[in-house]
Amino acid sequence: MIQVSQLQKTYMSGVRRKPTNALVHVSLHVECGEIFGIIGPNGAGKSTLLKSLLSLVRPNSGTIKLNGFFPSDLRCRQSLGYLPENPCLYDNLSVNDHLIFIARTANLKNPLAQQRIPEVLAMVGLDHVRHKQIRTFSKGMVQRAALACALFTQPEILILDEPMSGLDPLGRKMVTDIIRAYNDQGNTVLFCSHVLTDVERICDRIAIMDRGQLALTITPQELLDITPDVRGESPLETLFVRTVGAGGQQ
Amino acid sequence: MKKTGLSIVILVGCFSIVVWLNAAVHDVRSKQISAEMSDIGRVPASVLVASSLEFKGAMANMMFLNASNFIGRKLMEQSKTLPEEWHQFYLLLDRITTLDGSFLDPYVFAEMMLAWQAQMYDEANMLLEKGIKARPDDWRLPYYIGFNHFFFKKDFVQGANYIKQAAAIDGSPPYFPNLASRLAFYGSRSKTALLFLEEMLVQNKQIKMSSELEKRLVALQGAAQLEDAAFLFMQQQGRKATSIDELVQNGFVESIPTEPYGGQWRLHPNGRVDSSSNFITVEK
Amino acid sequence: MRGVYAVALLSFKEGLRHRVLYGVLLAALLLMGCTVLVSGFFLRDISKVILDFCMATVTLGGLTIPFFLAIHLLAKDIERRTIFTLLTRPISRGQYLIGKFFGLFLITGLIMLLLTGGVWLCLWGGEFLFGSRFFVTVSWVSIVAALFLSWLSVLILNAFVVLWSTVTTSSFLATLLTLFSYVIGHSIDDVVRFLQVEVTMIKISDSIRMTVDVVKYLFPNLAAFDLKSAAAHGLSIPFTDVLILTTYATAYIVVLLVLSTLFFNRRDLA
Ligand SMILES: Nc1ncnc2c1ncn2[C@@H]1O[C@H](COP(=O)(O)OP(=O)(O)O)[C@@H](O)[C@H]1O
Ligand SMILES: [Mg+2]
Repeated sequence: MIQVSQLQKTYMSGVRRKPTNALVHVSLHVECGEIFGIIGPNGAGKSTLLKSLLSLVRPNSGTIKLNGFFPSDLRCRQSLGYLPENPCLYDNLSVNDHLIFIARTANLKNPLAQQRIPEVLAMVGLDHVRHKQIRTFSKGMVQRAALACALFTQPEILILDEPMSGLDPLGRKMVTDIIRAYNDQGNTVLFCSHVLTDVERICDRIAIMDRGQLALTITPQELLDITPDVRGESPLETLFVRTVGAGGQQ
Repeated sequence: MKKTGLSIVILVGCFSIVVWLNAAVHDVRSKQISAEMSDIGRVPASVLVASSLEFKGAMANMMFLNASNFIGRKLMEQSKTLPEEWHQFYLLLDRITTLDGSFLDPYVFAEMMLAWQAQMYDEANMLLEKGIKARPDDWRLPYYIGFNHFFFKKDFVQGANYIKQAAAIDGSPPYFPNLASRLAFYGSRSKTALLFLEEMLVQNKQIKMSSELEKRLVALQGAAQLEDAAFLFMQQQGRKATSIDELVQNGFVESIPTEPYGGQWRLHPNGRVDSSSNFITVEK
Repeated sequence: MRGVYAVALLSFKEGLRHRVLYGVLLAALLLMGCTVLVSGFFLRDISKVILDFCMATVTLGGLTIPFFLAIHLLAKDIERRTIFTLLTRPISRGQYLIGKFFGLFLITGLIMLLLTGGVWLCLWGGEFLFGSRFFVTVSWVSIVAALFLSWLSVLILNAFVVLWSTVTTSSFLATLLTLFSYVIGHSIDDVVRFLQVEVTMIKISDSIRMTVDVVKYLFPNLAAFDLKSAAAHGLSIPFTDVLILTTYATAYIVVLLVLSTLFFNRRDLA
């Protein structure tokens, strides 16, 4: 369960400390066992929101609770998996090394880890390059490896930042399948994307984010009531353009 | 919050240890330093020049700092600097002036330390000659050499030559030509030496007087005072005084000036006054 | 504790796979080999010459860690966001920094230990070539003590890399600041001595004195850790000195790491 209330974040960038409002009074509630998707244009603040959940970014105000813990509490990270946007792994190490590290931090006994590693690598389709150094990987393969890292401990909450970017169509389908399968085990998934079709297909609820604010939250059922403005456009697309476009005109 | 508090306590605690140990760590190095310092000069000049790459000036500065630390420690500990160490020091100054010939400080140092403290007049002059080549527009360097010739080596002709050379350079004190001729004429009179020394001190105002220089100044002032008195005695009495005591008894000097080197004043028939110490500290 | 251990092990592994390291090792061993041959040009103090060069090489090899590898393992880690893999695990930022420091601790120790083996080989080779009468002054206790202290000074620099990587946002700046710290650390003691004795008889202003007094407490006295020439001459290094320096280095490293943690806790890793 993820509870976010009145979250606010202003970045101060450069020597002049120029302020950028990345999050403006964001409140959010994700139930256990839900797939929650956040969509929004570039620079809407999606990544900032997800990073705040992992306390990689310190919000200026507002509170976050993950399964009842504050994000800075190390206990909550035990049950958390995170896939950063444009993930970057250690060039000189192999996926195997990364996963062993994660097993160590999760206090997983070695035999269990040895059993889990091929499992998770097969899931992301990297079982044939288990011992190869990351430097030899393509961008999509790094993305898969990072996903394997996020999934390794079978966390209760999975947070994915643009999980489909950089993947081929098969890869996208794989990610969608993984998210579905994962959710079927009763786990929570929170992810964001700017590609609408990815979100539409799998989410239980969808939030549209624009310029640091959560504009609206909607379920796929509610989407059915929306008639597209343009023929051939999906309902979500229409809604997105209406919401974000309207904001832009203000 | 609790953790931040703990961190700050650890921070303050460990920093106190660092501050507390600072002096002890300083002392650890003090024991090692002497062996380390004097070795640099042994490296052949050509090797040093080559290995300094494009950092010759910086290298010279570092070596100079080293050299002055070395001598300074000796002075502070009041331990006697051995001839071997003075030689090392000379070598160091020689390498420094090879690396950066226009660097003035080592020349001043050569005069102040090698000539004054170590009585290595020839070595000091050799360094200063190097300086004249590198800094032809600096009147101080020939002046120092002239000073050494006159003051220490009693070679008045050479001394006058160098003062003439210094006088020809722009910016030299206006009375130098006069000084040069007087030097050639009077030669050994204490008054000339006093003038000379006083000029040296005026020139180096920013330099604190070393004890050696100060002593010499007092001695020369005493000698000059006595010589003046002897001159006056001859003019008034029509004969030469035979001893310092005679000058005192007749009221030409109020009391005998102190001789800082611990010797006895001596009045010579030619009117010169010097001391049995020859102005060299009498070892106890 | 588990977090620190995991991070230390990961950075150790990551560091060891780095190619810089093999270059350094190879260059250092080659240099040492040359030393043995060159030492034949000297007349008497052959063992001193060999030891001087060899121990300098060990220290140089150690110094490549803070200046090349540590920057890569810390500043680049933060810059390239590889750090996310670690910080999204149950690892606090303090644990991360301490773990990284211990990773560097291990790498530096390993490299300098290997190079110390090189010193041993060189001495052995020298004795074989020139005869053992030139090697009577060699004292392994002093050599090991000097190299241990040299290792400590490299560790202080590693801690500086940790600090500068957390307060700056670029690896270049972190390198520059570390270099600065190194230069200041090595010259501050000489400056202090210079002021103590007023050798050049130049009057020094009080403001300079005050600055030096502050700086001498803020920056470590790295020059004091350099006992290599004593060891090369076969002089004994007092145990109390080693103890003082070890305590000093440990306290200083703790100060740097705690300070880094305080800074790092406040930083956004966006
Ligand atoms: N480190 C940072 N410093 C300053 N501004 C930032 C930083 N990271 C992101 N921002 C700004 O915050 C806003 C939100 O960024 P982000 O959360 O990455 O958007 P999204 O992931 O939705 O594309 C953007 O306007 C971006 O310019
Ligand atoms: Mg983003």
